Amino acid sequence: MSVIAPKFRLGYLIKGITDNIFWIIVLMTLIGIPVVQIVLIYIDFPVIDGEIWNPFRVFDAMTHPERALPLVKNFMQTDLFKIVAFPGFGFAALIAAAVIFVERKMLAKLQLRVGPFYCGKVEGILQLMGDGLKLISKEIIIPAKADKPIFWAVPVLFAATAGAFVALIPVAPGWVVADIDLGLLAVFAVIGFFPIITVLAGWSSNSKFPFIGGIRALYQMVSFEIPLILSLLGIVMLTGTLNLSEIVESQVNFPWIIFMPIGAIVFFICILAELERIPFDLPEAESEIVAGW
Amino acid sequence: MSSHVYPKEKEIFPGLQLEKVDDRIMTLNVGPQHPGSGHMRIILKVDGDYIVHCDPDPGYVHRGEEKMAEYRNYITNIPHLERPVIHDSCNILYPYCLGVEELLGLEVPERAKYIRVIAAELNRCVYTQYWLAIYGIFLGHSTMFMWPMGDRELVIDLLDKMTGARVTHAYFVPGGVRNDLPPNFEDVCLRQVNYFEKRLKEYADIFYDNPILISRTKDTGILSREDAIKLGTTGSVLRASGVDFDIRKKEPYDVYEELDFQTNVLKEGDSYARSKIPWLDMFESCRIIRDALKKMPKSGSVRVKLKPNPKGGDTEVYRRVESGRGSLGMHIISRGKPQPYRLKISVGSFRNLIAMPHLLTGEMLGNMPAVYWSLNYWPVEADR
Repeated sequence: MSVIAPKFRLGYLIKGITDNIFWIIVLMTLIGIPVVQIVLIYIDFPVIDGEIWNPFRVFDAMTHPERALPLVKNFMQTDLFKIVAFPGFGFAALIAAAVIFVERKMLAKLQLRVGPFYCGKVEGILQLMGDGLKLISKEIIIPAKADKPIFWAVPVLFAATAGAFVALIPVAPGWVVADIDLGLLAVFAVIGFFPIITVLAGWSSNSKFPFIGGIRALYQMVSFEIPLILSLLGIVMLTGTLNLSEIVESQVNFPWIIFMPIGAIVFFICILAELERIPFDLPEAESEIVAGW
Repeated sequence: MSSHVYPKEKEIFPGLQLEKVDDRIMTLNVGPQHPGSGHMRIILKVDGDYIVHCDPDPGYVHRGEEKMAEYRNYITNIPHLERPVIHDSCNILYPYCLGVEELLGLEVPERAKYIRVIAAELNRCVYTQYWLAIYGIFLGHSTMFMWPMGDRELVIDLLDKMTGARVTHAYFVPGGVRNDLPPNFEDVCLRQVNYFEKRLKEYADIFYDNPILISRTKDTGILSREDAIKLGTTGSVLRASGVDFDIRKKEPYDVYEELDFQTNVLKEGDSYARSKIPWLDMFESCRIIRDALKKMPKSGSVRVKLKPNPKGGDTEVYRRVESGRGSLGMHIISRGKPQPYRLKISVGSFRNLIAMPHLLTGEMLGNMPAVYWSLNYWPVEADR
């Protein structure tokens, strides 16, 4: 049965809106207000800056935004805000999007192209959002012979390891999700997860090309992990701490790269190999093993 | 009886389907639905990362060009004969036109000969740029994909002005070329070709002197001089192995003997040399075009008037030219009819493909794209 969109009429729109408002008012007065009052009897109001935040105070803050400032400040110090927004995933996603966008534009300039251009009117600024929406809306295809639980688990595990890194990065003084004393050790631990997940990814799809790609990725990651860790241990010897925030604070006067240029270069090369970026993209060589695992 | 016993398949690789014969060997079907195979399949047997057996399997784009030619007149054969390699359409029509001219006893005007040489050399540049772009993307070098693709437009614009079509020109006809050059073409051509040559020199910085490219292609897939001759390879593959063989020099057709150019020969015979020869040949093409523009008669006829449905005698001819992929010959057998009795196309792609099993056996799987595409192989042309 085909559905034909009815012709738009302003009168119908206004009638629909008024009907909705009528029913909202009726339901709010008959059901909503009694339920809210019953709930308010049983819960304790939060005390912020010595003030009791009862419902009237909330309505007051809505009309006078400057009175809501302590509420906002309080929210910004909660773990929820740290994980979701500023040093956590929201901020990391924004940084990642910005870096990818700049990389794409610069590559395009190098290759005599314009790069993302139309989406978002201004130099294709919304291209990445469009790409992300397209990827999310893709059909999920699982090979018939795939090992299904592992096939599902691998992307989740990868997102989790990336999230673990994000949690450890000190963005600003005091702005870390997980400010732990053994931060660098935690970084090594998370890096150690990569080869395992990659091999699982290559293995679970039960195909030959991803298998080769997974094994290649395993070799590459394991072999570059040791120089990566060694290049970071030099910093530990200089600063005497494993806490990432303290390592960052110790570079107030001068960065350690002045004293350890070789370590910095080694770290850069190893992290490229660990992330399988060009020129270390052999595990996902498109022309021979079809983008690998 | 081997001393050690392999464990059962399911014990070592539970998730993986393995071959029944030997546990160590895995068969990989590279293609035909594979970004790195083109319109063909390569059956590889790998032991770990090493290729122990290679079996190229062309024929997925066989279009029966030779059979089609038997049902069409000598003139109506032109458009479909260029389809096997549309990026080099002038060069694939060249031996056909030379053969039919010999068959019908036509004398090509002097100006048409020069125009043909210019068109053929421009087309060689178009083909080689396309080939080079794909070689770049095969090795994961995306800038080398974009640059030749962009610079190719310069030459395509010239051919567009000359012939009216960007890719499938159908420009060569028996007895000359289809139409004369547009007015003021010489100046435009000279300017574009000079700029094109300037751009070609920049490829050395980003591609040929790139340590990553050198490390991936140097000393991989070495074809010795003797093997290159024995296997019957042609074109850039043969010249990269140290054999000085160019049909433009050895059996000059049209006006190539009057033009000033040289043959590029490298002795290494590895993938790097094979990838470098076509690039060096493009400089020679620019040189030929400049020389031909200088020596070309400024006016005159470009085409011999043909009778309707010309008939060949009871003879056969074989003519070959140097195309972008090596020797390209056409054997036309005539039995006194307006159609050829038999038309055999001998292409350089197919002859270079024979070297592939020889080169890939014993190489690592990662070197497969570098060796494969350095053979200057065009799957569609090889299948005809």
